Amino acid sequence: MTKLAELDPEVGQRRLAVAERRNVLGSWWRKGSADGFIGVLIALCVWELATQTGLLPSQYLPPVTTIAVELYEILTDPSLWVAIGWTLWGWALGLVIATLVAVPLGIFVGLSVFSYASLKPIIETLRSIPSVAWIPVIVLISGVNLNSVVYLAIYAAFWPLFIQAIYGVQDVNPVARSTANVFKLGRVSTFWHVILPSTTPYIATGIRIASTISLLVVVATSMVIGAPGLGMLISLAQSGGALPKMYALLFVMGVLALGLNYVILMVERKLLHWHSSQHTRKGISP
Amino acid sequence: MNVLNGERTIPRLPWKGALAKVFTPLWLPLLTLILIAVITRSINVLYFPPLTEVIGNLFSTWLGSKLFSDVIPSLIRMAAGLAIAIVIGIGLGLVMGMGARFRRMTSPIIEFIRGLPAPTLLPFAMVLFGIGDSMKIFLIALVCVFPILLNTIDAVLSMNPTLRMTCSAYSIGKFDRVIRVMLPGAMPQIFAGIRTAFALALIMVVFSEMLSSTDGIGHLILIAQRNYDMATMWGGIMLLGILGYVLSILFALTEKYVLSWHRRSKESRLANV
Repeated sequence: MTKLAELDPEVGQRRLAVAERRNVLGSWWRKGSADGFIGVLIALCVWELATQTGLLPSQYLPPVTTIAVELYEILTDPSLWVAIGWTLWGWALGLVIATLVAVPLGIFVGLSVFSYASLKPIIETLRSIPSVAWIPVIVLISGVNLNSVVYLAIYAAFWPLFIQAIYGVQDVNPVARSTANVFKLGRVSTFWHVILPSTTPYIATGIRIASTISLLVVVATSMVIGAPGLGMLISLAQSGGALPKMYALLFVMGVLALGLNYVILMVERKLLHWHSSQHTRKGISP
Repeated sequence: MNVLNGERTIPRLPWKGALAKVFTPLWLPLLTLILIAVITRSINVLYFPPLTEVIGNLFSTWLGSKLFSDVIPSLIRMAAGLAIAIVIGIGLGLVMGMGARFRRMTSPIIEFIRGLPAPTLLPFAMVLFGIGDSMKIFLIALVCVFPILLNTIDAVLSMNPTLRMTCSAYSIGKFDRVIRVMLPGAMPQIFAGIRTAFALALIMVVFSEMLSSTDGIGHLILIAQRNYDMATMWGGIMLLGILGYVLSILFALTEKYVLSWHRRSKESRLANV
C-alpha cells in the first residue's frame, strides 16, 4: 500500500506540506548567518554598480539608493499605510472566515466515508478552477469594493483548509480510534481527545497555506478590479512609470508577506508546542 | 504499518459491490448539475444563464471558434513557462543543494522573492518585457520556479547518506553522481514541486491575461463579463475547471509512469524486509 500512497496526488500534496515544514532554507540565519548578509550585500552592490554605470538599463531597474530614498518617502506617506491596512483587513477576514467555515466542514466530511466519496468529484473540480477566474463573477455580483476582495479570499482560502481538515481526520491513528472504542469513550470524548488533537497539525499546515493564498488573492483582486490595497498601488506605480516607487512598494509587500508568514508560524508553535511535529522542525522560516 | 509509514487510511465504504462503487462518486455531481440546470432555467436572472446554454457555449465558443485564438495560446504560455521553471528549478536546485555556502548566501534573496505574493511580480515582469507573450512566460516561469527549486534542494539535502558514501567508495565521478544518483533520487520530490507549480501556472496565466493581454482564456472571460456575455463567462470558468482537472490527471499518469521504478524499488525493499 505504501508505494501507491506515494503516488497518490493527495498524499503528494501532503508530502509537500511536510517538505515545506522542514523548511529547506530556514536555517540560513543560524549556521553561517554572515553568509546570508554577505550574499544580500553583494547582490545590492552589484545592482547599484550595474545601474549607476549603465550596465543595466536604469529605465528597467533604478539604482538601489534611488529606491531607498523613495522607500523612505512612501513610508512617511499615510496613503501607503491605508493601503496596507486594507490589504491586511482583506487577508485576515478571508483567512478567519474561511477557517471558521472550512475546518468544521472538513472534519465532518472526513469523518463520514459516504460524504467524502460523494463530494470528492465536486471538490476536485471546484478547486481546479484557479481562484482568479472568479474575479469577473464576483465583480458582477458584489461590485468593485472591498467585499468582493474578501469573498474571493474566503473562497480561495477555503480549499486548502477544507482538504487539510479532511486528511487530518482520515489520518487519525486507527489504533487510537480502536482504543477509544474499546474503552467505550463516547462519541464526543473521542472527538475531543482523539480526533481533534491529531487533526490540529494538519489544520495548522492548512492555515499556513491558506494564509499565503488569501494574500495572493487579495492582491490579485485589488490589481484586476482596482479595489483599494497594496496591489492597486503597485499596479498604479507601474502604469504611471514611477519605477522607484514600484520597487519600493514591492519591497514593502515582501516584508509584509514575510512578517505574516512569521506571525502564523509563531502562533502555530505556541498552540502546537505539545505536538511532535514541532520538535522535528529544523529552523524557523523567516 | 500504515501508521508508522504515515499513510492516510481511507476507511472503506460501508457497502460493497460494483454498483455502489460507481454510483457513490456520481450521484451528487449529477444531482448538483440537474439542480443547477433546473434552477437556472426557471429563475431567469441575467447573471446565471441556463446551464444548457453555458454548456453549448463551452463547445461552440471555447472549444470551437476561440480554441485556436485564445485557448491554445494560453496553454502554450503555460507550457513554456513551466518548462523553463522546471529546467531552472532542477538545475539551480542541484547546485544549491550541493553547495552549502552558495545556498546560504542566496537563500535570503530567494526567500524574499518567494514570499512576495505572485501577482505583484506582474508589474515587474511588465517593466522588463512589456505586455507580450514573453512577459507572461517569464512571469509563469518566475512564479513556478520556487516550489520546484525548494523541493529539489530539500531532496538533495535529504539524500540517503549510504548512497553518498557508496558513491565516494566507488569513486563515481561528479557528473555521474549528479545524473545517475542525485537526480533520480530527487525525482519523487521534484514531481511534488512540479505539481504545485502546475496550479500556480494556471493561476498566473489567467491573471496575467486578465490584466494585460489581447487574447487568452483570462482575457476572454473578463471581456465576456464586461459585455454581459454571461454564457461565455461561465463557459470559460467551466473550461478552466475541466482543464485543471484533466491536466492534474495527465500529470498523475506521467508521474506514475516516470516514477514506476521508484515504486518498484520500494516494493522490493519492503519484500526484503
